[in-house]
Amino acid sequence: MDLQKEILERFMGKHKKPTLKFISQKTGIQMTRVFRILNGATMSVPEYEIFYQLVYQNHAYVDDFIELASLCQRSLKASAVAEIADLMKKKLWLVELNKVEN
Amino acid sequence: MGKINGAMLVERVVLESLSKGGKTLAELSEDTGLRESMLNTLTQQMAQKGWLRYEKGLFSLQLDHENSWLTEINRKENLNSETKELMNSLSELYFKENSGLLKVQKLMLNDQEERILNSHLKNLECFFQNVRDERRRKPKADRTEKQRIVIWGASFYSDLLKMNLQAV
Repeated sequence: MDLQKEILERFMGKHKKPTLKFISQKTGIQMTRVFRILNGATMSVPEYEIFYQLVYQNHAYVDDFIELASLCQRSLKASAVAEIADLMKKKLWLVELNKVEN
Repeated sequence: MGKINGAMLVERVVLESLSKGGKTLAELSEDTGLRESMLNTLTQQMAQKGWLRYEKGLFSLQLDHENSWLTEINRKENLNSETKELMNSLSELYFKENSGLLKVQKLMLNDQEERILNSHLKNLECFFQNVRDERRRKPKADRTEKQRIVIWGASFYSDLLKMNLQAV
C-alpha cells in the first residue's frame, strides 16, 4: 500500500489536484474505479503500472533527479557530494565542447 | 557552472602534445586527433587559464609563471580524477563498444602464486620503464593520440570493499 500511496501522491502532485474525469481519461481506468482507488481500494498491478508510466514519463525524472541530488547533499559526506558535483560539471563541460564539435 | 579542478582528458592530450614543442592549430589537430573547431575553443580556454600562450601562429605551454598551474593539475587529487576518467572510458569502450582490452580477475592465491603475481607485475613495470628509456634514446615520431594506455593494478578484495563503503 505504501507504493500505491506514493505513486498516487506523485501523480496528484504532478497534475495539481486533477478531477476524477481527468484521471480516468489519462489512465483509461473507469471513473468509479478511480474513485475507489483514491478512497483506499487496493490497485491491481496493471493499474499501478499505468500510474507509474504516467508519473515517470516526460519530465518526471527531472523532479526525481533534483530530489535525489538534494537527498545526496543531506546524506553524503562533503567529499562524496563534491565528487558527484565534479562529475556533473565535467559532463556539462563536455556537452558544451561537443556543441562546438557539431 | 563552477570551476573544474585539474585538467580534463582532452586538455591533457593538448598539454602532452605541446610539451613536445609549439604547434599550429592544424598541427595540434593532426597530433591529437581532435578537430580544429574543438581545439579552437579548447586552446582559447586553456590560454585564459594561463596554461598556453599563442605567438606567431604557434601554441606553446606557458611555463614561465612558476609553473603553478602544472603543479595544480598534477596534484594527487587531480591525477586520481584523470585515472578515473581513463578507467571509466576504457570500461565504456570495452563493455559498450566491444573494443579495447579490459580484464578483471578475482583469484584466491596461495603464497607461491602471490609471489609469481608480484613478479609478473614487476616485470611489466620493468618493461614499461625500458620502453620509456628506449623512447628517450630513440624517439619514435608518432602522433600523441597513438600512445597506448595501459592500466593495471591489484589489491585485496577486502581493501576495495572497505574503500567502497567509505566513499559515501
